[in-house]
Amino acid sequence: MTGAGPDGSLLLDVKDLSISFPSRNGMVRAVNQFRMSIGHRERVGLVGESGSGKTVTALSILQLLPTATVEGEIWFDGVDLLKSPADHVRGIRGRQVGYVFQDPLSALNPVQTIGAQLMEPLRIRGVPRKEAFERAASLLDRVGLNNPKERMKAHPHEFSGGMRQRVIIAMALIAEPKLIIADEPTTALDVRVQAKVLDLLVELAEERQVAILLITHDLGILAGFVQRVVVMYAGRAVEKCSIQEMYHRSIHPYTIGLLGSVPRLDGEIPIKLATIGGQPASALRVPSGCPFHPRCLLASDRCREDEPLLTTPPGGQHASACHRAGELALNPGVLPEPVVAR
Amino acid sequence: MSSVLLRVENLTKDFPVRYLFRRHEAVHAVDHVTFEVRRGSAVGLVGESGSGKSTTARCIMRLIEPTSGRILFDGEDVTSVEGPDKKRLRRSMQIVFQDPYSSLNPRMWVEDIVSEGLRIHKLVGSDEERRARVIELLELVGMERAHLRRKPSALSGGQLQRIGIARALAVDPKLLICDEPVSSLDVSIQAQILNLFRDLQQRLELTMLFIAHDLATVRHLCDYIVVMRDGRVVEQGSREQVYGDPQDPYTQELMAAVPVPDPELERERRQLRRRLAAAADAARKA
Repeated sequence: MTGAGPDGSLLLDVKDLSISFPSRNGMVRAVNQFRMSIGHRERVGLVGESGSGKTVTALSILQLLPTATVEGEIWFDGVDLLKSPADHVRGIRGRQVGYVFQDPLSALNPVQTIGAQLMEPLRIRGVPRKEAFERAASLLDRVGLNNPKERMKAHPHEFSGGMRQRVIIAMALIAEPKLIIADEPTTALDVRVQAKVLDLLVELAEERQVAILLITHDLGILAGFVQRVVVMYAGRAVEKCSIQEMYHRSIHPYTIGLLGSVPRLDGEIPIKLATIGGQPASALRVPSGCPFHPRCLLASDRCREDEPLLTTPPGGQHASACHRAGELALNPGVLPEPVVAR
Repeated sequence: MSSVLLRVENLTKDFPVRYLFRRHEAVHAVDHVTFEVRRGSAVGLVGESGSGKSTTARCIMRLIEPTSGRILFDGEDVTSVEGPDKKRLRRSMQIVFQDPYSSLNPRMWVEDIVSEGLRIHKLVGSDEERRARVIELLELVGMERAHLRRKPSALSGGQLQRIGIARALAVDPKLLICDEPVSSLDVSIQAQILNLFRDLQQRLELTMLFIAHDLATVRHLCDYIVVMRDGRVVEQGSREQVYGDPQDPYTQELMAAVPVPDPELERERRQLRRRLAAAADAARKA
């Protein structure tokens, strides 16, 4: 992996993260014993369906969850953010870690000019106005907006969705962060604009040596974007591997089912998509044992009782939280025959 | 009986744009659109937001009035039918909407939602007959008798969309229009609903007009494709033709933009996108 820094350190190392929210029926655990890491300059995808806990995980890194109880360790650049004073975390937000939100319109202030919003992180750091203006304008130019100096005076409503997302990307980059968290950055965009925005993000990340955590439900957009993937289900990491491994040699029934659910633009058209029955587990009622067992065609008694840990089967390339991962590893990427026939 | 169920001819819909001090103008939301839907086929209407695909569907259903053009349905000109004829038309065309949360009445029982059309069009005699029909419809879409006395708030997104489909099928329509019926659902649930559509297509010999922005989904379900941009049809043809060998530069660009779940392929496709974008730029400058 491009991963570790000069001293072998990771940029982000999340250990045993648990996130709970108060509810009428006591605490609800949205994320449970979650671990993941990102190396310097590495691009990692966090995939899951709605309610899998991917967004709260990302928000917890910057401590943007005021009502939640967050336990565990979040090491960023050698410091545990969960044990750091609020000042330190504030210094990281926007400067060390940039955030690209799903909906660019609600992430921008409607009554401030684009320029003022873009320059804000620099101004807070004490960069002189003139220099901040020049840097902001040149970044707008870089993300593909023509006539950037004029655009700086415009307000968000004057921009199209794709242009707004480009502005958000510029905002995330302006303070030269080490990590960008992009939470469903293109779900609100049309497909051609989506491709352009994603291609731009990859280009910029390589050019500026920034690591990216891409959060998405769309397995397609990961393919050209990240090097490594963490698949989440019911607040847990259920599979962790390289992007090639996930697409071609997955050893978790959820991931395999999810991949089969996506209609494709190439190849034969299947009569039925090999989908997963039932509905995604809710944090309010996480099933016993393996949280995926009610939807899993391979589930056995053991799966109903005891929760599998994320482990790498012997000789394997990647980790899976499935009691039958060893079996799946013999013929990765497919579910065993008799099960498919059912 | 002609093999063509629906023919849209030069359909145009203008929306007025009013200015305070300038002359009022019109936006051509749909601009001389012509296509046909054959009986038993599934036609995909694709395009990005603002391309006029939903407006086209709404005109066909007469939910909004077209500015000009003709709509021929089942051998009959229905462009301006009114009264009982319009009611009859509504029975033969049904629509499934994108967002099941806002298209089902939250105060109604599932049973009443599904049977409303049966009552309005007086398709069943007794209460027993009506209930039997509703149960049959629920089972058809993969739901159960137990769901009769539920309200939408007690159901998940995928289940709600199944109810929306059952409601549309209740009156035995000749044409089912689906406006982005899976785009608000989770990936695994999308696949369940797509499988349901495939199943219904085969069992009921449904004729479908399927509106979507997702080209892969449309490829999965539809045998004929109409591509729209800015209110116009830029390309139409069979699935093999449009996906295998797209002619219009816009269609080509659209196809290249769809991510393919394969890291090696996707790297090549990024190069293709760069080339297409460069070619489009050059064409604009020339």
